[in-house]
Amino acid sequence: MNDKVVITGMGIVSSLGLTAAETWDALLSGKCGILPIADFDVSGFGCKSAAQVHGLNPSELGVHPRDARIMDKHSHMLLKCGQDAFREGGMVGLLPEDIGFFAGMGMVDYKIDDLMPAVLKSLDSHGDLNYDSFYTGAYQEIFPLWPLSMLNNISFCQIAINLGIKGENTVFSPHADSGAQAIIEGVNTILGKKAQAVLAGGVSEKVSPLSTARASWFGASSPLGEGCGVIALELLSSAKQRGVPYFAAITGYACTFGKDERSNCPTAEAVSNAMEQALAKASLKPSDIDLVIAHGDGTDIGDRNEIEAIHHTFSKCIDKINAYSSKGALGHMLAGAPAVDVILGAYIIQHGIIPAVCNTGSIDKSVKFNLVKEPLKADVKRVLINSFSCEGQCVSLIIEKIN
Amino acid sequence: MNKRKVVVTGLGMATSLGLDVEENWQKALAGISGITRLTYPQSEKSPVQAVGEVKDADWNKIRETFPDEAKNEGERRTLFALWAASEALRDSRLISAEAASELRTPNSETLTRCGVILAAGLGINRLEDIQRWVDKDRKFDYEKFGREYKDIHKESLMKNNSNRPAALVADKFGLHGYNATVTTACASASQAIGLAYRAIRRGDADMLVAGGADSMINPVGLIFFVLLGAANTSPDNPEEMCRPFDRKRGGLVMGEGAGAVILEEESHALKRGAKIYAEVAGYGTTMDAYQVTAPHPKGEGAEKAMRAALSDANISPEEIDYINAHGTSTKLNDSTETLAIKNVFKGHAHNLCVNSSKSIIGHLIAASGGPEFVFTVLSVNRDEIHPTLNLKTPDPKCDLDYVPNIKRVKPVRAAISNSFGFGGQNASIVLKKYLATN
Repeated sequence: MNDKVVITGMGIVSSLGLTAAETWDALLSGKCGILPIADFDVSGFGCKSAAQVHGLNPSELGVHPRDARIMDKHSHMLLKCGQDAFREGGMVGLLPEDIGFFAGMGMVDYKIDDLMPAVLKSLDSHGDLNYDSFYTGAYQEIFPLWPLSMLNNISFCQIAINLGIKGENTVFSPHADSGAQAIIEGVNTILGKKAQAVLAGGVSEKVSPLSTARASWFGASSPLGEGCGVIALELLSSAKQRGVPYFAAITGYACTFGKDERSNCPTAEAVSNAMEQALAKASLKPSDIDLVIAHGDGTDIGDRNEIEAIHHTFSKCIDKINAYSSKGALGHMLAGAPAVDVILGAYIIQHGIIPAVCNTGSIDKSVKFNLVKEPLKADVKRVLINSFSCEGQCVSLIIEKIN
Repeated sequence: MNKRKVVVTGLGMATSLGLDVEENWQKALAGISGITRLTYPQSEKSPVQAVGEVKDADWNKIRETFPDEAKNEGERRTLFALWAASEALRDSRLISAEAASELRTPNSETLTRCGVILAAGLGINRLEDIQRWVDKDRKFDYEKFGREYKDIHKESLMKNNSNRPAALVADKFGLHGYNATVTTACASASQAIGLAYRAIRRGDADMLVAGGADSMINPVGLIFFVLLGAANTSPDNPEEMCRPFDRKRGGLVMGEGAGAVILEEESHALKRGAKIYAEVAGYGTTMDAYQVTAPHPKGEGAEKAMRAALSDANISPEEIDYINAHGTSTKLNDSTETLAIKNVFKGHAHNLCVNSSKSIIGHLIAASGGPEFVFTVLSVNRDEIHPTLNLKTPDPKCDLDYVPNIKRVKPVRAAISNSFGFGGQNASIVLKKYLATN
C-alpha cells in the first residue's frame, strides 16, 4: 500500500493569535481580526482596515541583533511558525540535510523611510531627482545591507539558519498559489525520498502604504491580512516509527492556469480543472469531499468564477458540499493563506466542527452549496482547499482524515 | 516503476549577445563579450559602468514582435521572458514560425498538461514613487499618497508581480497546466528548471517552459550590489571586467535578459517528432544555513548540491566532463566553488572543463541559470565548450581547467550547471547526452 504524507506539526501566526490553537479558538468563537490600520495615515486610502498581527517579539524568537535590521515582520512571522511546526513535528534530532524547506512569499516592499534619506539628498532645488547626485553620494545614505532586506529568499535563508535546515528548498512567489505550490513541492520531496521531513507554508506581505495601495488597485474587497502558516510533513510510516504525532494526510493537489481577462483572476475553467485534477490525484470522486475551503478573496469576478467552478465540479452533490472561507476573519493573507487553510482543515477534521464564515453579508443568491454561516458540527473526512493568484494561477489541495 | 525521462526540445534566449540562440552560441564560442559601457539614461555617474545590456536594436525588435505587451508592460524582464519563451517554443516546433501566438497542438486537453515555471528577480523600485510625495517639509505625505496612489507607476504598484512573466507566457500561448514562479535570488532560474524537471518526471505535466528573466539595470538596481560590496566598480575596459577564477577578479558584472527551455517527457517529444538536444538527468538543491552575506567557507552547500544532483541522476562523478560554474567573478564564490568541485570530484576534478558564462554575458541575477543552462545543453549536444574570458592571472586557489579564453572541443557525456543564490541556496542540474530508449 502507498504510504501517505502526513502533517506532523503546525504553526499559525494571524491577527487572531500567535499560534495555530489560538487562531482556531478565536475563529470558532466568531472573532474577526480586521481592524482600522493605525500604523500610518490611511485617511486617503480606499481601504482603511486590515487584519494585522500584533505582539510578535523578535528577540523572544532568538533573532540576533545583527540580523534584526534586515528582517521585517514577514521574517518574524515565518520564523515563529517555522519554529512551532519544527518543534511539534519533532524535527530537532533529524540531520539538517534530511530536512527540506519550501515557502510561498510575497515580494518585499521597500520601507519608505529606508530610501527617504537617499531620495532627499538626490533632490535639486526644484524638488526633482538629480541622478548625478544619487549616483555620486546620495545612494550611500542607504544602509549597505538594505538590498538583502528586499530579497524574500533572504528571510527564508535566515530562518533556515535559525532552525538549521540544509536540505531541498525553494521560494515561490508572490500570491496565494505560491503558498500552495510550496506544500506541493514539500509533499513530493517527501514522496521522492529527497528529505525525511519538510517544512512548507507561506507568509503574507506586511501591511504598509504600498501593499494597501496595491490591494486597492486590485479592487479586493476583503482587506489585507498579515499572517503565516507552516506545516511539518513526513511519511506516515516514518512519523509512526519516530513516535511523532500526526494529523491529516495530504493526498491530492493540482496546479493550473487560466487568466480571466476582466480581472486577471483565474477562470472558472482553470479552477474546475485544478479541483478535478486534484480529485483524480487523490483517487476521489467529487462526492467524497465534505468541505471546500474556498479562496474566496471577495473580488467580484474572482468569487463568481470560483462559485461557478464549484457548481460545475460538484454538480452531482452540490447540496451536500459545505464551504468555508477564512478571509472574512483573517483578511487576505496571500501566500500565507494556503498553509493556514490546510491547518484549519486539519483542525476541522479533528474536532468535527466548521467555524462560521465571517462577514458574508448577503450571500449571492445563485450559490447552491452550503456556505457555513453558523458553526456547524459535521463529520468532515476530506477537505479541498483552493488558492489563487492575481494573475491566473490556481492550486487545489486535498487533505484527508487518517483512519 | 520506471521514472519518466525528461528531455530538452527547445531553446530560447535574450542576452547582451543577441536574441538568437545560435548567434549567442557562436559568439560565446568565439569569446566575444556582450559586456559594454552602460547606456541607461542619466547614469553617466553610476558607480557601475560595465554591464551586459540587451542592445537597443534587439530591445526594439522584441517590442515590435510583441506590440501589445510592449505597450502594457513596464518591466524589461517581462518582455525578455516572453521573447525567450516564444523562441524556445518555436525552436521546439510547438508554435509555427509565422504565428508566434498559436501553439501547434490545439488540443485543449493536451494544453492542461503544459505549463510554465519561471524565475524572476526583484523588479524595479522607482525613486520617483517616493519623490512625488515628498512635501515641502521634506516628509513623505502619506495622506496625499493614499489619495493619489493611482498615480504611482502602475508596475510599481502591482509590485512588478514576480509571477507576471510566467502568467504572460502561459496566457499568450494557451498553456493551462502547471504554473509557478521561483524567487531565490541567483539560484532562481536553475531551481525553476530543476522543479520543472521534477514536475514532469513525477507526472504533473508533459511539457513545461522553464527558465528565468531579469533586469536590474535601473538606478536602484545598479547600486544594489555596490551597497553589498559585490559589484565591480573599476573604470576598466568593460569587456575585461568580469574575470571569473582570475586572481584579479574584482566582483560581479551585471547582465540582463532571459533564457528559457522546453522540457518535455520523452514519449511526448518522440510522438510529435521533436528534436531532442539532451536529457535532464538530475537536480539537487541545498542550503548553506551558514550566513546570508557569504557562502560557506568550504563550499559545503555547493558540494552537497552537486552530490545531490549526481545521486538524483544516478550517475558517477567520473561521467561528468564539464561544469558550467556559477563563477561570479567575486573573490569568495570562485574559490569556494572550486573547492566544492574538488571535494565532489576528487582526482577527476582536473579532467573536467569548468567555465563561467558570466565572463561573457555578465550575471543575469535571478535569470542567470537560464542562459547558462542553454549553453550547457549546447555543450552536451555539440561537444564544444565556450571559454571563460579574461582569465589571465592564475589564482592558486582556483586551479582547475577553466577553458581560459579559447573554446574547447571535447566529448561531453554529461555536464552540470551550477547556480548559488545570495543567502545560501544552491542548485545543480545534471544534463546528459540523449540516448534513445530501446
